[in-house]
Amino acid sequence: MSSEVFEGLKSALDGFGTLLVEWFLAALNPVRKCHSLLAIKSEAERIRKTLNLWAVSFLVSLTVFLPLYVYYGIGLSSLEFHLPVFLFLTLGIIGCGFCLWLSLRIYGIHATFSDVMAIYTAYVMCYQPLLNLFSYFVYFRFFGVLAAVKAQGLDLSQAAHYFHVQSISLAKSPDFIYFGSRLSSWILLPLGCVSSALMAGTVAGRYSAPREKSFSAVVFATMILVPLVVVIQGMLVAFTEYVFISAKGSAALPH
Amino acid sequence: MKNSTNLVSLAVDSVGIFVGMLGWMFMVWGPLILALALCYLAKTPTATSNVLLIFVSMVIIPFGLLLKWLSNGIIKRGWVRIILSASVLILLGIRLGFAYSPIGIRGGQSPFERHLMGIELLSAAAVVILGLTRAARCSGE
Repeated sequence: MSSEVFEGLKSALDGFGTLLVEWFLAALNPVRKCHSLLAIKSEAERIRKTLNLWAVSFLVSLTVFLPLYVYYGIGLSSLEFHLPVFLFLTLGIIGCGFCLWLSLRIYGIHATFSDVMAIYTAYVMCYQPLLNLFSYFVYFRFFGVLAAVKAQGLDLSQAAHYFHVQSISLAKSPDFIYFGSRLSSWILLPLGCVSSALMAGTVAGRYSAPREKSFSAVVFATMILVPLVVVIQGMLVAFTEYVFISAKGSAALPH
Repeated sequence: MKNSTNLVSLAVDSVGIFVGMLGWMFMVWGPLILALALCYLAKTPTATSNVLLIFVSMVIIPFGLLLKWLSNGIIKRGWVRIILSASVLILLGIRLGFAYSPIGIRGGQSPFERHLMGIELLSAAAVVILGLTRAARCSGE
Protein backbone atom coordinates (compact mmCIF):
# COMPACT_ATOMS: atom_id res chain seq x y z
CA MET A 1 0.00 0.00 0.00
CA SER A 2 2.74 2.44 1.02
CA SER A 3 4.70 1.71 -2.15
CA GLU A 4 1.56 2.51 -4.21
CA VAL A 5 1.23 5.83 -2.39
CA PHE A 6 4.92 6.50 -2.94
CA GLU A 7 4.66 5.68 -6.65
CA GLY A 8 1.57 7.89 -6.99
CA LEU A 9 3.31 10.75 -5.20
CA LYS A 10 6.41 10.30 -7.35
CA SER A 11 4.46 10.38 -10.61
CA ALA A 12 2.47 13.43 -9.40
CA LEU A 13 5.70 15.25 -8.52
CA ASP A 14 7.22 14.27 -11.87
CA GLY A 15 4.15 15.61 -13.67
CA PHE A 16 4.21 18.84 -11.70
CA GLY A 17 7.94 19.23 -12.29
CA THR A 18 7.41 18.86 -16.02
CA LEU A 19 4.64 21.47 -15.96
CA LEU A 20 6.79 23.83 -13.88
CA VAL A 21 9.66 23.57 -16.37
CA GLU A 22 7.18 24.10 -19.22
CA TRP A 23 5.87 27.26 -17.52
CA PHE A 24 9.40 28.54 -16.88
CA LEU A 25 10.38 28.03 -20.53
CA ALA A 26 7.13 29.69 -21.61
CA ALA A 27 7.88 32.71 -19.42
CA LEU A 28 11.39 32.92 -20.89
CA ASN A 29 10.17 32.79 -24.48
CA PRO A 30 6.43 33.58 -24.71
CA VAL A 31 6.51 33.93 -28.50
CA ARG A 32 7.75 30.37 -28.97
CA LYS A 33 5.27 29.02 -26.40
CA CYS A 34 2.40 30.86 -28.05
CA HIS A 35 3.31 29.50 -31.45
CA SER A 36 3.63 25.96 -30.08
CA LEU A 37 0.16 26.26 -28.49
CA LEU A 38 -1.30 27.59 -31.73
CA ALA A 39 0.31 24.76 -33.68
CA ILE A 40 -1.77 22.16 -31.80
CA LYS A 41 -4.45 20.89 -34.18
CA SER A 42 -7.12 19.80 -31.69
CA GLU A 43 -8.96 22.69 -30.00
CA ALA A 44 -9.67 20.65 -26.85
CA GLU A 45 -5.98 19.76 -26.53
CA ARG A 46 -5.00 23.42 -27.05
CA ILE A 47 -7.36 24.56 -24.28
CA ARG A 48 -6.10 21.78 -21.99
CA LYS A 49 -2.47 22.84 -22.51
CA THR A 50 -3.44 26.49 -22.02
CA LEU A 51 -5.19 25.73 -18.74
CA ASN A 52 -2.19 23.67 -17.58
CA LEU A 53 0.04 26.66 -18.18
CA TRP A 54 -2.36 28.91 -16.27
CA ALA A 55 -2.65 26.44 -13.35
CA VAL A 56 1.13 26.38 -12.85
CA SER A 57 1.26 30.16 -13.17
CA PHE A 58 -1.44 30.41 -10.47
CA LEU A 59 0.47 28.07 -8.14
CA VAL A 60 3.67 30.07 -8.52
CA SER A 61 1.84 33.36 -7.98
CA LEU A 62 0.16 31.87 -4.90
CA THR A 63 3.60 30.97 -3.56
CA VAL A 64 4.73 34.55 -4.17
CA PHE A 65 1.78 35.89 -2.16
CA LEU A 66 1.87 33.25 0.58
CA PRO A 67 3.84 35.35 3.14
CA LEU A 68 1.36 38.18 2.66
CA TYR A 69 -1.61 35.84 3.05
CA VAL A 70 -0.10 34.25 6.16
CA TYR A 71 0.59 37.70 7.62
CA TYR A 72 -3.10 38.49 7.24
CA GLY A 73 -4.21 35.16 8.70
CA ILE A 74 -4.88 33.13 5.54
CA GLY A 75 -2.83 29.92 5.54
CA LEU A 76 -2.03 27.52 2.75
CA SER A 77 -4.51 25.02 4.22
CA SER A 78 -7.46 27.45 3.79
CA LEU A 79 -8.79 25.65 0.74
CA GLU A 80 -12.16 27.37 1.16
CA PHE A 81 -10.29 30.62 0.36
CA HIS A 82 -7.87 29.44 -2.32
CA LEU A 83 -10.41 27.47 -4.36
CA PRO A 84 -12.86 30.37 -4.92
CA VAL A 85 -9.95 32.70 -5.70
CA PHE A 86 -8.63 30.21 -8.27
CA LEU A 87 -12.13 29.89 -9.73
CA PHE A 88 -12.65 33.67 -9.94
CA LEU A 89 -9.26 34.22 -11.54
CA THR A 90 -9.86 31.41 -14.04
CA LEU A 91 -13.29 32.83 -14.88
CA GLY A 92 -11.58 36.21 -15.20
CA ILE A 93 -9.16 34.79 -17.78
CA ILE A 94 -12.02 33.22 -19.71
CA GLY A 95 -13.90 36.54 -19.50
CA CYS A 96 -10.90 38.54 -20.72
CA GLY A 97 -10.33 35.99 -23.51
CA PHE A 98 -13.98 36.39 -24.49
CA CYS A 99 -13.60 40.20 -24.53
CA LEU A 100 -10.57 39.91 -26.79
CA TRP A 101 -12.36 37.44 -29.06
CA LEU A 102 -15.43 39.72 -29.24
CA SER A 103 -13.31 42.76 -29.99
CA LEU A 104 -11.52 40.91 -32.80
CA ARG A 105 -14.92 39.95 -34.23
CA ILE A 106 -16.09 43.58 -34.03
CA TYR A 107 -13.02 44.58 -36.04
CA GLY A 108 -13.70 41.83 -38.59
CA ILE A 109 -11.05 39.27 -37.54
CA HIS A 110 -12.67 35.86 -37.12
CA ALA A 111 -10.34 34.27 -34.58
CA THR A 112 -11.29 31.08 -32.74
CA PHE A 113 -11.84 31.27 -29.00
CA SER A 114 -9.19 28.66 -28.20
CA ASP A 115 -6.60 30.63 -30.21
CA VAL A 116 -7.42 33.80 -28.33
CA MET A 117 -7.22 32.01 -24.97
CA ALA A 118 -3.85 30.52 -25.90
CA ILE A 119 -2.49 33.89 -27.02
CA TYR A 120 -3.82 35.70 -23.93
CA THR A 121 -2.45 33.08 -21.53
CA ALA A 122 0.97 32.90 -23.17
CA TYR A 123 1.50 36.67 -23.30
CA VAL A 124 -0.36 37.88 -20.21
CA MET A 125 -1.49 35.31 -17.66
CA CYS A 126 1.77 33.39 -17.80
CA TYR A 127 3.26 36.44 -16.03
CA GLN A 128 0.81 36.47 -13.11
CA PRO A 129 3.65 35.74 -10.61
CA LEU A 130 5.57 38.76 -11.94
CA LEU A 131 2.43 40.86 -11.66
CA ASN A 132 2.01 39.70 -8.05
CA LEU A 133 5.62 40.53 -7.32
CA PHE A 134 5.23 44.06 -8.68
CA SER A 135 1.89 44.47 -6.90
CA TYR A 136 3.29 43.41 -3.53
CA PHE A 137 3.32 46.92 -2.10
CA VAL A 138 -0.15 47.69 -3.40
CA TYR A 139 -1.57 44.48 -1.96
CA PHE A 140 0.20 44.97 1.36
CA ARG A 141 -1.55 48.33 1.77
CA PHE A 142 -4.81 47.05 0.29
CA PHE A 143 -4.96 44.15 2.74
CA GLY A 144 -4.17 46.57 5.58
CA VAL A 145 -7.10 48.81 4.65
CA LEU A 146 -9.34 45.76 4.12
CA ALA A 147 -8.45 44.43 7.58
CA ALA A 148 -9.19 47.86 9.09
CA VAL A 149 -12.55 47.91 7.29
CA LYS A 150 -13.34 44.48 8.71
CA ALA A 151 -12.23 45.46 12.23
CA GLN A 152 -14.51 48.52 12.15
CA GLY A 153 -17.42 46.57 10.63
CA LEU A 154 -18.04 49.13 7.85
CA ASP A 155 -20.63 48.56 5.13
CA LEU A 156 -19.85 48.82 1.39
CA SER A 157 -20.37 52.60 0.98
CA GLN A 158 -18.52 53.34 4.23
CA ALA A 159 -15.72 51.03 3.09
CA ALA A 160 -15.47 52.86 -0.25
CA HIS A 161 -15.29 56.20 1.61
CA TYR A 162 -12.65 54.78 3.98
CA PHE A 163 -10.53 53.63 1.00
CA HIS A 164 -10.85 57.12 -0.52
CA VAL A 165 -9.83 58.85 2.71
CA GLN A 166 -6.89 56.47 3.18
CA SER A 167 -5.62 57.05 -0.36
CA ILE A 168 -5.74 60.84 0.16
CA SER A 169 -3.92 60.66 3.49
CA LEU A 170 -1.29 58.33 2.01
CA ALA A 171 -0.71 60.71 -0.90
CA LYS A 172 -0.20 63.57 1.56
CA SER A 173 2.39 61.70 3.60
CA PRO A 174 3.92 59.19 1.20
CA ASP A 175 6.16 56.45 2.57
CA PHE A 176 8.27 53.80 0.84
CA ILE A 177 5.23 51.55 0.30
CA TYR A 178 3.48 54.41 -1.50
CA PHE A 179 6.50 55.10 -3.70
CA GLY A 180 6.98 51.36 -4.24
CA SER A 181 3.43 50.98 -5.52
CA ARG A 182 3.80 54.03 -7.80
CA LEU A 183 7.06 52.67 -9.18
CA SER A 184 5.47 49.25 -9.75
CA SER A 185 2.59 50.79 -11.70
CA TRP A 186 5.08 52.71 -13.86
CA ILE A 187 6.91 49.46 -14.61
CA LEU A 188 3.72 47.49 -15.26
CA LEU A 189 2.35 49.99 -17.80
CA PRO A 190 5.10 49.47 -20.43
CA LEU A 191 5.07 45.72 -19.76
CA GLY A 192 1.31 45.70 -20.42
CA CYS A 193 1.83 47.62 -23.66
CA VAL A 194 4.50 45.13 -24.79
CA SER A 195 2.17 42.18 -24.03
CA SER A 196 -0.66 43.84 -25.96
CA ALA A 197 1.66 44.53 -28.91
CA LEU A 198 2.75 40.87 -28.92
CA MET A 199 -0.86 39.69 -28.87
CA ALA A 200 -1.87 42.02 -31.68
CA GLY A 201 1.17 41.07 -33.77
CA THR A 202 0.48 37.35 -33.33
CA VAL A 203 -3.20 37.74 -34.28
CA ALA A 204 -2.26 39.78 -37.36
CA GLY A 205 0.27 37.12 -38.41
CA ARG A 206 -1.97 34.11 -37.79
CA TYR A 207 -5.09 35.46 -39.51
CA SER A 208 -3.29 37.53 -42.17
CA ALA A 209 -5.25 40.54 -40.95
CA PRO A 210 -4.18 44.18 -41.40
CA ARG A 211 -2.01 45.22 -38.49
CA GLU A 212 -4.01 48.39 -37.75
CA LYS A 213 -7.15 46.27 -37.36
CA SER A 214 -5.64 43.76 -34.96
CA PHE A 215 -3.91 46.49 -32.94
CA SER A 216 -7.10 48.55 -32.76
CA ALA A 217 -9.05 45.47 -31.67
CA VAL A 218 -6.57 44.66 -28.90
CA VAL A 219 -6.55 48.28 -27.69
CA PHE A 220 -10.36 48.41 -27.74
CA ALA A 221 -10.59 45.16 -25.77
CA THR A 222 -7.94 46.28 -23.26
CA MET A 223 -9.41 49.71 -22.63
CA ILE A 224 -13.14 49.19 -22.94
CA LEU A 225 -14.21 45.56 -22.51
CA VAL A 226 -11.59 44.00 -20.22
CA PRO A 227 -11.91 46.62 -17.41
CA LEU A 228 -15.56 45.61 -16.96
CA VAL A 229 -14.57 41.95 -16.42
CA VAL A 230 -11.62 42.91 -14.23
CA VAL A 231 -13.79 45.09 -11.96
CA ILE A 232 -16.33 42.29 -11.39
CA GLN A 233 -13.61 39.70 -10.86
CA GLY A 234 -11.65 42.06 -8.57
CA MET A 235 -14.72 42.69 -6.42
CA LEU A 236 -15.38 38.96 -6.08
CA VAL A 237 -11.76 38.28 -5.09
CA ALA A 238 -11.75 41.28 -2.71
CA PHE A 239 -14.94 40.03 -1.06
CA THR A 240 -13.40 36.56 -0.58
CA GLU A 241 -10.31 38.18 0.93
CA TYR A 242 -12.52 40.32 3.17
CA VAL A 243 -14.30 37.21 4.47
CA PHE A 244 -11.09 35.37 5.33
CA ILE A 245 -8.74 38.19 6.31
CA SER A 246 -7.71 38.62 9.92
CA ALA A 247 -8.61 42.02 11.43
CA LYS A 248 -5.25 42.23 13.24
CA GLY A 249 -3.52 42.91 9.93
CA SER A 250 -4.69 46.55 10.02
CA ALA A 251 -1.58 47.19 12.12
CA ALA A 252 0.23 47.39 8.76
CA LEU A 253 -1.36 50.78 8.14
CA PRO A 254 0.58 53.94 9.01
CA HIS A 255 -0.58 55.77 12.15
CA MET B 1 2.95 31.70 -39.51
CA LYS B 2 6.07 33.83 -39.57
CA ASN B 3 7.55 35.40 -36.49
CA SER B 4 8.11 38.97 -37.62
CA THR B 5 8.76 40.46 -34.22
CA ASN B 6 12.10 42.06 -33.55
CA LEU B 7 12.79 44.06 -30.42
CA VAL B 8 12.81 47.47 -32.07
CA SER B 9 9.53 47.07 -33.93
CA LEU B 10 8.02 45.56 -30.78
CA ALA B 11 9.02 48.70 -28.86
CA VAL B 12 7.48 50.94 -31.53
CA ASP B 13 4.29 48.87 -31.62
CA SER B 14 4.10 49.11 -27.82
CA VAL B 15 4.26 52.90 -28.06
CA GLY B 16 1.49 52.73 -30.67
CA ILE B 17 -0.60 50.62 -28.29
CA PHE B 18 0.05 53.11 -25.48
CA VAL B 19 -1.08 56.06 -27.61
CA GLY B 20 -4.19 54.10 -28.67
CA MET B 21 -5.00 53.35 -25.04
CA LEU B 22 -4.66 57.04 -24.20
CA GLY B 23 -7.04 57.76 -27.08
CA TRP B 24 -9.75 55.46 -25.69
CA MET B 25 -9.09 56.86 -22.23
CA PHE B 26 -9.90 60.37 -23.45
CA MET B 27 -12.82 59.26 -25.61
CA VAL B 28 -14.67 57.05 -23.13
CA TRP B 29 -13.34 57.03 -19.59
CA GLY B 30 -12.47 60.75 -19.44
CA PRO B 31 -16.05 62.03 -19.90
CA LEU B 32 -17.42 59.20 -17.74
CA ILE B 33 -15.05 59.92 -14.85
CA LEU B 34 -15.72 63.64 -15.19
CA ALA B 35 -19.49 63.03 -15.07
CA LEU B 36 -19.10 60.88 -11.95
CA ALA B 37 -16.84 63.47 -10.31
CA LEU B 38 -19.34 66.25 -11.09
CA CYS B 39 -22.19 64.13 -9.72
CA TYR B 40 -20.16 63.51 -6.56
CA LEU B 41 -19.31 67.20 -6.13
CA ALA B 42 -22.65 68.76 -7.11
CA LYS B 43 -24.84 65.93 -5.68
CA THR B 44 -27.56 66.71 -8.29
CA PRO B 45 -26.88 67.65 -11.94
CA THR B 46 -27.02 71.43 -12.32
CA ALA B 47 -26.92 73.61 -15.45
CA THR B 48 -23.33 74.61 -14.68
CA SER B 49 -22.13 71.03 -14.27
CA ASN B 50 -23.93 69.96 -17.47
CA VAL B 51 -22.38 72.82 -19.45
CA LEU B 52 -18.96 72.04 -18.00
CA LEU B 53 -19.33 68.34 -18.87
CA ILE B 54 -20.44 69.10 -22.44
CA PHE B 55 -17.70 71.70 -22.94
CA VAL B 56 -14.91 69.44 -21.64
CA SER B 57 -16.27 66.43 -23.59
CA MET B 58 -16.28 68.51 -26.78
CA VAL B 59 -12.55 69.03 -26.27
CA ILE B 60 -11.39 65.64 -25.00
CA ILE B 61 -13.42 63.35 -27.28
CA PRO B 62 -11.92 64.81 -30.50
CA PHE B 63 -8.54 64.75 -28.76
CA GLY B 64 -9.04 61.03 -28.10
CA LEU B 65 -9.94 60.51 -31.77
CA LEU B 66 -6.76 62.34 -32.75
CA LEU B 67 -4.70 60.06 -30.48
CA LYS B 68 -6.31 56.97 -32.01
CA TRP B 69 -5.45 58.26 -35.50
CA LEU B 70 -1.87 58.91 -34.35
CA SER B 71 -1.70 55.41 -32.85
CA ASN B 72 -2.59 53.89 -36.23
CA GLY B 73 0.12 56.10 -37.74
CA ILE B 74 2.74 54.68 -35.39
CA ILE B 75 1.64 51.11 -36.22
CA LYS B 76 1.94 51.89 -39.95
CA ARG B 77 5.24 53.76 -39.34
CA GLY B 78 3.94 57.01 -40.82
CA TRP B 79 6.48 59.75 -40.19
CA VAL B 80 4.19 62.77 -39.91
CA ARG B 81 1.93 61.06 -37.44
CA ILE B 82 4.89 59.78 -35.41
CA ILE B 83 6.29 63.30 -35.05
CA LEU B 84 2.81 64.61 -34.20
CA SER B 85 2.22 61.90 -31.60
CA ALA B 86 5.63 62.51 -30.02
CA SER B 87 4.74 66.21 -29.72
CA VAL B 88 1.34 65.39 -28.20
CA LEU B 89 2.94 63.00 -25.73
CA ILE B 90 5.42 65.69 -24.73
CA LEU B 91 2.65 68.20 -24.10
CA LEU B 92 0.57 65.65 -22.21
CA GLY B 93 3.54 64.55 -20.17
CA ILE B 94 4.34 68.09 -19.13
CA ARG B 95 0.78 68.70 -18.02
CA LEU B 96 -0.16 65.35 -16.50
CA GLY B 97 2.84 63.15 -15.96
CA PHE B 98 5.47 65.10 -14.13
CA ALA B 99 3.94 68.40 -13.08
CA TYR B 100 1.96 66.79 -10.28
CA SER B 101 4.11 63.79 -9.41
CA PRO B 102 4.45 63.24 -5.65
CA ILE B 103 8.23 63.00 -6.03
CA GLY B 104 8.27 66.52 -7.47
CA ILE B 105 6.04 67.86 -4.70
CA ARG B 106 8.21 66.33 -1.99
CA GLY B 107 11.35 67.61 -3.62
CA GLY B 108 10.18 71.18 -2.96
CA GLN B 109 10.78 72.26 -6.58
CA SER B 110 9.00 75.20 -8.10
CA PRO B 111 6.28 74.48 -10.71
CA PHE B 112 8.60 75.88 -13.41
CA GLU B 113 11.38 73.46 -12.45
CA ARG B 114 8.97 70.55 -12.44
CA HIS B 115 7.67 71.50 -15.88
CA LEU B 116 11.22 71.82 -17.10
CA MET B 117 12.02 68.33 -15.79
CA GLY B 118 8.96 67.05 -17.64
CA ILE B 119 10.07 68.70 -20.87
CA GLU B 120 13.59 67.25 -20.60
CA LEU B 121 12.46 63.71 -19.81
CA LEU B 122 9.75 63.63 -22.44
CA SER B 123 11.96 65.18 -25.09
CA ALA B 124 14.39 62.35 -24.40
CA ALA B 125 11.49 59.86 -24.68
CA ALA B 126 10.43 61.44 -28.00
CA VAL B 127 13.96 61.16 -29.37
CA VAL B 128 14.00 57.49 -28.35
CA ILE B 129 10.61 56.88 -30.05
CA LEU B 130 11.77 58.55 -33.26
CA GLY B 131 15.09 56.70 -33.20
CA LEU B 132 13.41 53.35 -32.59
CA THR B 133 10.91 53.97 -35.38
CA ARG B 134 13.68 54.86 -37.78
CA ALA B 135 15.58 51.71 -36.76
CA ALA B 136 12.41 49.62 -37.12
CA ARG B 137 11.86 50.97 -40.63
CA CYS B 138 15.46 50.33 -41.59
CA SER B 139 15.41 46.76 -40.24
CA GLY B 140 12.16 46.12 -42.13
CA GLU B 141 13.60 47.28 -45.46
